[in-house]
Amino acid sequence: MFDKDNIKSLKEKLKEWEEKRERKALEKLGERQGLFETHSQIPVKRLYTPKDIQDFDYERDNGFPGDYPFTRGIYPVGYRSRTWQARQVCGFATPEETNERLKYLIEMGETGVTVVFDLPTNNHAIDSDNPLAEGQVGMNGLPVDTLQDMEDAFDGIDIVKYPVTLIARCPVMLFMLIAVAEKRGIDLSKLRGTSQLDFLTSYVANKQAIFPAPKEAFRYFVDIIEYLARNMPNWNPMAIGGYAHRDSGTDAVQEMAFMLSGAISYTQAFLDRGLRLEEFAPKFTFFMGCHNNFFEEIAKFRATRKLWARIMKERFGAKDPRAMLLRLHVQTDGNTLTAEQALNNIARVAIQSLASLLGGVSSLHSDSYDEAICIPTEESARISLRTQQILLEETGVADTIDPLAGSYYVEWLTKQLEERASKLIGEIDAMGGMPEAIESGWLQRKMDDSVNRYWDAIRKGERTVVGLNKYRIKEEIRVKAFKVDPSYERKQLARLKKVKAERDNEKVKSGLSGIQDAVKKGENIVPPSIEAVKAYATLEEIMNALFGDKVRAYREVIRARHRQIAV
Amino acid sequence: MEKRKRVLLAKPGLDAHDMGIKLIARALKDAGAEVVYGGIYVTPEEITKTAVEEDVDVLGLSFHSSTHLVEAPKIMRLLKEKGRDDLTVVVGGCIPLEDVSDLKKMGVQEVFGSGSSLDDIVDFMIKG
Amino acid sequence: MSDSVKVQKREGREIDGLMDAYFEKPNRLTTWSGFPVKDIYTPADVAGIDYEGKIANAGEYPFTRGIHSNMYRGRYWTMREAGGYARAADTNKRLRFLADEGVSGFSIFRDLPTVWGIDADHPMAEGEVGVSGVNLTSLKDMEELLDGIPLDKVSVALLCASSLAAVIFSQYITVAEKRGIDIAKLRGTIANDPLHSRYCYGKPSNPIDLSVKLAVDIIEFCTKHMPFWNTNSVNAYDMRETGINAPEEIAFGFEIAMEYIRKAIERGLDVDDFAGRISFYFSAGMDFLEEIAKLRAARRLWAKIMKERFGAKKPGSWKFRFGVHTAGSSLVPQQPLNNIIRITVEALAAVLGGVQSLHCCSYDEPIALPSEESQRIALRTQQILAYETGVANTADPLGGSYFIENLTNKLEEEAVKIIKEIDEIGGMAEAMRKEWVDQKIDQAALQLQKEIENKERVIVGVNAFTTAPEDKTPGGVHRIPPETEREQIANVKSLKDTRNRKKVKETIKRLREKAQMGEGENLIPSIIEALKAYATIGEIQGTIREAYGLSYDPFGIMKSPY
Repeated sequence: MFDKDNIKSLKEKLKEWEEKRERKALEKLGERQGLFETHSQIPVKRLYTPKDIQDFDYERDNGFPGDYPFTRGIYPVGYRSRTWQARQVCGFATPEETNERLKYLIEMGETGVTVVFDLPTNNHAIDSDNPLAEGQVGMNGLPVDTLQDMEDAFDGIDIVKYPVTLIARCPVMLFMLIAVAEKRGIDLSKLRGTSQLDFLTSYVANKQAIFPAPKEAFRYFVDIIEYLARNMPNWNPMAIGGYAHRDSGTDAVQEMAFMLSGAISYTQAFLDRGLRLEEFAPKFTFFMGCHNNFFEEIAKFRATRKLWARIMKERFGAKDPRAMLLRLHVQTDGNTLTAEQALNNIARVAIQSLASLLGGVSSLHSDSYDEAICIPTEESARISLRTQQILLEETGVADTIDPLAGSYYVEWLTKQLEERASKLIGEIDAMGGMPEAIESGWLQRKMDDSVNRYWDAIRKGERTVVGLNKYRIKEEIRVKAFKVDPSYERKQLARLKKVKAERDNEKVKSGLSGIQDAVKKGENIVPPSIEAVKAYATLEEIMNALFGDKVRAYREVIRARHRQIAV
Repeated sequence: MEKRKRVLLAKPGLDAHDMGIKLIARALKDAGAEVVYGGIYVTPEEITKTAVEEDVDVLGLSFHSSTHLVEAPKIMRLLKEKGRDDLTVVVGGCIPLEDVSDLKKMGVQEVFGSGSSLDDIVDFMIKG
Repeated sequence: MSDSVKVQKREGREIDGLMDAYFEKPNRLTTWSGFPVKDIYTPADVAGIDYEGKIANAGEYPFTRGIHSNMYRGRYWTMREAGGYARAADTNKRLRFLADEGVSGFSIFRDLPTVWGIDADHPMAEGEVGVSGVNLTSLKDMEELLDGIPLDKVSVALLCASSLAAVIFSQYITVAEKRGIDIAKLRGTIANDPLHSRYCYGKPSNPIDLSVKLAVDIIEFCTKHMPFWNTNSVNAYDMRETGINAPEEIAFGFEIAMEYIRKAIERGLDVDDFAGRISFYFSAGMDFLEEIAKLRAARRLWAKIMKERFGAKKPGSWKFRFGVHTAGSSLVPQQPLNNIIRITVEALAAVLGGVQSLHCCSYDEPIALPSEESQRIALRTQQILAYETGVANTADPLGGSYFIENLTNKLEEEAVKIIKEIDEIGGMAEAMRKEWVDQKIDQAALQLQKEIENKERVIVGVNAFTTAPEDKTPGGVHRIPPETEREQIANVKSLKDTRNRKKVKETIKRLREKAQMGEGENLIPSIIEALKAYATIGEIQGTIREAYGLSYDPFGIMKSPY
């Protein structure tokens, strides 16, 4: 299809087409808008032909699934042997309830468990008795103050057989899980779960909440990865995210670049510590969103796989192909959903889920249609799961690998995204990497620009969101109240009080000072942290021992900047 | 010429969804208001202190995690204590309809839930 | 087929521990139509495809990539939603609702008595009046139906396919004429495909020859008087709904269209004078990629047929113009909101396949008539695709995909084979008379049912992932109140009593005379005259039938009053 003569004759034909047919049609009809572009402002042409991909080399640019550069997928068998993973998360208002739910899910056939934490725990790393937590304990997830909570949540659950995924950037929950394993006498090398720990995204998703300035915080996470690499070789230490950026309003190119720049910064830091690439890189997982722009999202997943493989091979000299694989979890983008005419979101989520699968992602979470107005109900959560089941069972899109490969448009767009993201990564490199991009406020400015551009277009009617700025109807949008039962908070406070009363405070004290010593002396902070956990020190106590006043200092810097940025 | 309205925008609670409130901040500024952006994770004490110090006319609060019934009463009480209950207080975000009357009873002037138009919000804050 | 289920591991590969994260696997590795699907498609699968000759740019022969050079960049596809239930006034209200919600075209469904050509007060009509569409016994009904709708501005699809299309079509243009609108300016479509309709409504009221004659009358009339009207919407959709596969859908649809074309040429028309107004009505089912390939293959094949077989010279005659209706048969009553997902996938396939006008089903269709809310969601689905996803920003975005191009070829080849088979029988009308088509359809339906029952085909909520049955439909059920029928019957009776009987008699007499003049005599003008005198659908059909030596009433119950 692509030999030189063909391309040449095609060029002539295309010129003729442009001059005759296209111009004639345009004169007659005009076009519905002046400029067609993707969400990432990539201009879209009227028609893509072999000419647009004349430099395309199949083996170099696509390759086979499971082969470098993995554009067509990281697995040689696509979804034909086993399908993507439909992930359901779980986290309930108390450790006891969470425990019950986890057991139920295992009984229903879940092969692993994914736990989310409540707002005070996950986003703020504060204890339930901190006044700031009032009214929010147990909201959206499991509250964790001390090891006792983790022990109760996992009571009777075989954490070797059922890998645990901890959706938390704060490392203390991981320390607690390790402590649970050690207390049960489990060989740590057998634990196979996943932790999020992508602290660089916390400056985006949680703003200034829990860590010191990125450059200061880095050392702690290098400690953790080093500990995991040496002691828990089967554990996936980091889920590196682009979702937080995307959901905060960036475009697809930025999502790729910010995520991969984060991964580059981690990789460099771990290498600098003396870890070998093979010890950590094969266990990275990645987490992106899927937005509305159908083909751009498909191309994004393909381009990101390829770009990461190239970075690992060319920049870091990876030899083991496993270190080049972008193992990708995707969640459909919550900020594309509307509170207006909420059932329309079923259509949006279906389109986004389809794009994710055509893009070859490894696991997928489809949003519920009512997420813009309430915590998903059982019915809406079921429909989101059914979306994936219908796509798998009824549409046939999972029956051949990377079915859109070869499409002039998709291949062209894949290349565009790769090049543009690559360029942006180069800019971040020139600044000194992701920590610097965050500390200087550059990242936040970029994101704010994107958000403003997107919403300005909606406000001016240049971009249509159905039901929001066009095709509105008279309706009462009923945000369903999600009230945490106040008894949960009372129960959790009582639990914490009891633990504090019963624990050996001397042990707690020495545990905490052990952490402070390690911080001061530059020793690995993980072992003393686990000791403090075992002494039932609280989440907040451990965070304070780890970071002291550094968190508050950085929070002030950022807060001042935020005010400035917004106004 | 009419005095430019001074508006304090802030987001109490532990939730970090600040896209909406930042868009409002910009829209208000474009419409000619003076905006003081209090940021996220701010306590009722910090908010009322800033409101008094900056001598604002309007206070806009954004909630997304159902803490409006915890935080709003505290803020209204503190404003009263500081003699600033003349302030126009506006609440926005994810607010169940059932809670609107409760908020208004506390003295909140207007509630803009999901689906409100940016222009309506800005109009209300500036013209009151 | 069982071989293709096995996954072939390429040599020298092993699947590492990463695969543990995965669960479940698809159990049917063929397309909906049974084409085996390989694990991977590469440039090798499209080797030898000549871009210019076989694929070509959008807007150029053979139009694989679309019939317009810039496709949806000029304007989006026509977003249609259908109205048609109960009395004409009820339907009118729904049409106005849809117009307010932003539809760009209407589709009007008629009820079964209308399809059969019997009046509302016919004994066989009992229980059917206004149930599956609007009842159109007389011109009065059409007048009420179109009240306040600007016929010179909207595009209306009249979904009446049976041989009664001639009457319904005439009703429509009579209303326009009475309003002083130049019918030459009307835009719209009449389904006008009596051949297919025997496969969706059972035995039709009129024999094949008379049906085709009336269909050609419409073609001829429009060729002379209504240049912007689509004379046929050849309905492959309803045939596909019975369970036939994608290449059969193409082949059956094309063979039907060829019958009309041959007859129109016999009537003395030049193919280039009417071929450009023949359109098609295709399905978009659940096999996303196959459905896209099907629409591309159909475009290419139709262009070839028109150019090579019929010697059409105008590019406009080569273009496969089509509407899509998402597959109603893919929807299930269980967990009905899941149908929104299905409709979305199907609608997206139609758009990526280059559709000209799209009708999305409503999620509650397997249970009841669409409610306003469910129809709104169906329309919103189209709007979301148009405005939010960017899929309409470039023509034929999947063009070049190894899999899609390969499958497009396979579908075309298979359709060509079936067309050859039907040609050998002597064309579609002959294949229908010999019941060859009936056999094919029965086989397909049976096979499909078996595959669902033995779970080779999984339908979520039906034979997998079931839940306890819902006790009510979300959004409520839309029902037709029984008094509707009583009122319509009373209306028809009162019309028959109050109209000018003399004028009815005169116009019926003229219609009879014209009908007796033979197949070549176009009956549309006399039908229009009879309609203006408020002759009913049953009276018009009966008169024509008698002239062709048939009983006045297709059911043999009523006798001609004239």
